[in-house]
Amino acid sequence: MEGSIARNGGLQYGGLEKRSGNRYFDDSALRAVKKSSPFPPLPYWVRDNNIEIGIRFHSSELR
Amino acid sequence: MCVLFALLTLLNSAIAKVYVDIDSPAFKTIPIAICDFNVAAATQPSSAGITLADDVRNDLSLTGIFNVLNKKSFLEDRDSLAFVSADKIRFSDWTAIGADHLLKGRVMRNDLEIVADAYLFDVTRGEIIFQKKYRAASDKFKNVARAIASDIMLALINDAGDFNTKIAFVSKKGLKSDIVSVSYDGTDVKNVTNHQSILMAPRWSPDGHWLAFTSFKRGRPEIYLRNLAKGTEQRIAAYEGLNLCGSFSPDGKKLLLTLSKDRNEEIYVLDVNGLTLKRLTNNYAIDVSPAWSSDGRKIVFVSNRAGSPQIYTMDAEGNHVKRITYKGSYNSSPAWSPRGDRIVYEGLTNGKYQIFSTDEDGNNPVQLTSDAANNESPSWSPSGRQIVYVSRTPSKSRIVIMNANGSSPRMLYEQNHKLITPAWSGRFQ
Repeated sequence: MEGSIARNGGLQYGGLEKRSGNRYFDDSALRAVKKSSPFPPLPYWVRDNNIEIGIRFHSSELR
Repeated sequence: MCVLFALLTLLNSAIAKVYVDIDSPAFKTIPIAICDFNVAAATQPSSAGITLADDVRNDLSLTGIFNVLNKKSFLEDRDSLAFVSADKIRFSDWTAIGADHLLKGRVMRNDLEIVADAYLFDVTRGEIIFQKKYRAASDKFKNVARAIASDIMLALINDAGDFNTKIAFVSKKGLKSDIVSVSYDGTDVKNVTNHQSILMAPRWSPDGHWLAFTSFKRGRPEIYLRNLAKGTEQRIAAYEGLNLCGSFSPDGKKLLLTLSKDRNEEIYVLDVNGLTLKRLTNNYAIDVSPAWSSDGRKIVFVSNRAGSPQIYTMDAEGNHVKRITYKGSYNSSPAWSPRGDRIVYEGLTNGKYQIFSTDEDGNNPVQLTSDAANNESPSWSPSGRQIVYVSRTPSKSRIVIMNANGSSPRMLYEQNHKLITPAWSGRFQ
């Protein structure tokens, strides 16, 4: 999935970049990221007002 | 899954986008609420909606994947429980009790048939996932329930599950034994053979129409192939010495065997139609217990060529032999996962047989059972999510099903006599 995090640590956007074919797994990944917001504020040395991140979830049990 | 923040310190503004990998997030069972089905007028009996919902609940519980919520916890009142459209359901009543998904339905039953409609909802999004109609003969509640359970699994995790499958095993009473089959849900126990003889190692054909096994019916170990629908049997291997049944190839055309006709035990492959035989191993040691990989390209087997019984793999032609177990002095009864990634086997540890699994190259061996019984003869479910095995104590034998990671064992069948070599069928159509 992909997302962007604002200076204050809030999740600005979170969505699925690529689906796994397993609806439950996709939804859980998305829920996990949304529940993790807000993240810690961005450190001072980050100059941009937000950062883009990508997260790859893997699971052998819920494939 | 909530460990993301720790990784953010890795990021800096010069990099446009960083990918973070999260492997094997902890498995959490899927919470689902299943309402009793609404009953159409003139349906007999009026409890049909409860029966059907109970069967679906039971089927989903057996998977080890679902957490089926207790219906006493449901908050919706009687009238709103009857609604089956997304705009009338109060989804907040379902998120409040922890449900991620909700099944509702309607059933009609008369003398001829059962007609059921099932509606699966995503509770967090407040939308319908599928709506589907099911028909079956009037006494086939369980078939309808299995079809609904299977569709729920397909919709949520893209896997049809193991609902319409059976497990066959040998039941021994003194010197006499026969093969018994039982459905995945523990019902429909049947005596398949009537040999009253020493029997071993039943093996299902992939389509579930045939069962191959070794029988001493004529005084010595020979291999039979039984047509399960017709009840007819054919002897397909009766060579001099030992004739032991291995497993069917994924296409059902070939059967692996262990024969001792050429002095010591070697592995052969038999063409089931032409009954032509081809030898795969050639060794002074004992080579036994062959089983195919899910793609039919490899074979896993047991050999004592290094001094003790250990698990080996080779290709389908008998070449590229590789040892994969090194721990313990006795490892046997291997079976290859239908998902291709793991091999399960029994091994002797602390004086007891326990079930283990490993990667096909022998990496990451894991002990899956550790109780006081002898746990033997593992066999995979068609989905590769579950394993059946026999668990024996001096007084009892049990056929037990557990999840592929060793969690949630449940007893399928037990008796005071000896039970051996359970085998899981493919999915019946």
